[in-house]
Amino acid sequence: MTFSSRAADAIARANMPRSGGRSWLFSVIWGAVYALGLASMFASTHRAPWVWLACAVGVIGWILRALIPDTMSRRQLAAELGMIVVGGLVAFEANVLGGVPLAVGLVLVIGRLERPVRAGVVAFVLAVAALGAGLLLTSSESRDLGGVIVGSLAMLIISALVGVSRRQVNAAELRLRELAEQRRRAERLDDHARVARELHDVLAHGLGALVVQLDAVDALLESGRVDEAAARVRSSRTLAVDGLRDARRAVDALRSDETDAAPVSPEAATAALAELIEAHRALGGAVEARLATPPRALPASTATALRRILQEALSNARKHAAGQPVAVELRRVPGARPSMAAAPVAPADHGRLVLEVTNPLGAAGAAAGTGGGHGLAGMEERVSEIAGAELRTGVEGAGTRFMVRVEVPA
Amino acid sequence: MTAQNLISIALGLALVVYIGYRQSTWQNLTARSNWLMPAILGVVGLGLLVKSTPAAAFTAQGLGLLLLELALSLAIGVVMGVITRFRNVDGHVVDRRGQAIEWQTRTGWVGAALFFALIAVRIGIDVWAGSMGFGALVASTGAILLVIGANRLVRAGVIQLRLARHQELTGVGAA
Repeated sequence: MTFSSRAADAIARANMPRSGGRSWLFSVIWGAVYALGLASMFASTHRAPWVWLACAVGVIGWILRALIPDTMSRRQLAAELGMIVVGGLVAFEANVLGGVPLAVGLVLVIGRLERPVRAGVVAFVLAVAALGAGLLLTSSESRDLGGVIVGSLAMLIISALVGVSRRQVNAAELRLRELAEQRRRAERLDDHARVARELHDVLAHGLGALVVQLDAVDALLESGRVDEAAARVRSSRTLAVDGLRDARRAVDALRSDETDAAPVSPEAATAALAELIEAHRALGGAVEARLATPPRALPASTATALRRILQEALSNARKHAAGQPVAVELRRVPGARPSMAAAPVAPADHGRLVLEVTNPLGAAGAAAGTGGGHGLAGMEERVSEIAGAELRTGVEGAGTRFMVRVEVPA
Repeated sequence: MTAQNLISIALGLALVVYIGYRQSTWQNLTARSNWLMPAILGVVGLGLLVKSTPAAAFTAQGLGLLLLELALSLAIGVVMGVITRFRNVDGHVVDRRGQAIEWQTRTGWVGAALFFALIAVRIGIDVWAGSMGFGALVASTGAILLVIGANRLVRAGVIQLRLARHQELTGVGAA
């Protein structure tokens, strides 16, 4: 488990309503009000001893229910059902007030997502039966029960409805928490993908080139050409230094959000591409380059994407078509392509930039086995992050050459 | 009084036969068919209870018995909903209104037996309460319809709930 996911879990836990806290206060306050009401009722009117007893059992059940921790879900449910039965039996005889445990129990059973729906149904049926039995137990001769009956039935229906609405609120909160957790997970995955891409582009490219150079050094030394080998070693060092600089740049880019980075001037963007082409030439590759200058500064993400895609394409050419000449072309094309005609065109249309890298298919180079196949996927990810950009890769010209073509808004 | 009793008996018998038949055969399930019957029974039952049951019938004991009967009826309705079998006919069956049917339901003989048991208990309570002198409310037509309506209502609710859960789990289209 990573630190970030632990932190996310902690946040999720902190957002959860702490069971026990608020419901405890609720129980204490309402329990006190309830006990006071009962006391005043018994002080003013005469009731049979069983009514006293049932009311006391109801209060004790309520207290017990509040004391049972959430881990003992079955005992909680038993206490709630007990409150419902006792409350229902005594609701009419104790002027509706006796039925308060029934209402509380019903809201608790129906309202909490921990309880299955069928528990709520059972509780409701039990409440109706208990109220019916309570009515049979009342001594109706002495007083008019109309108001008490209406009040008790209203209490039954209202507490059931309150339970249902609480359940829906709880369900909505749960869904919100799950959504937030999913979003956090997606963000983490995005970050991982970005780091993996940068690692691949910097390390695979730099180390792949070094492998080619060191193989050459090995071959030169075997055939006794020490001077040439020394020259190769020196250029290897240059490569390593370049790689290190690239790695630092990638780390900087990862540390700062690339979307906030300053735009890259047209000259700098072209120079970065030319630098890569020079490096390819230094490794013994033939490049025919035609680089146009972009009409204006490019967003940092676009400049990085162009540089990384060219880097990857050259690296691939060395691996899979060693010794074949590579054609690199950066050109400007007018905006509003036919396929975009129907869609709202990007504001201030300065046309588009197309980078095309083509090379004839050839024998696999010495480093062909060093890739993990992540390069093309990385290119696609980079392009997908730039609005309005398009990438095409594949074999063209009747199967004679490989082409990488990327088109970005300029 | 005798006329009302006769109506009660005739109505009750008709309902018993009709519902018993429907329990044991496959029935098309539409939202309408599921809710219409309980709604009609409930509304008519309540209406009769309010309008034509004499006020003297509303004693505490009478109401208590009615609530107990309702609880029994609700409980049996839940069980009937739970044991109901579903089959997916996937729109191959078309009902009289020309609506393609997705699901059919059958409660089976156990369901029919439960329903008859409910009726038997009801009649038993009627007779006992009548002999005790507070059976006027539970024997009234309105109360009978209300009790049966509650049974059908809960069964319909459980069926709807099960179907919704099934669709949630499998992503199968709505009925």
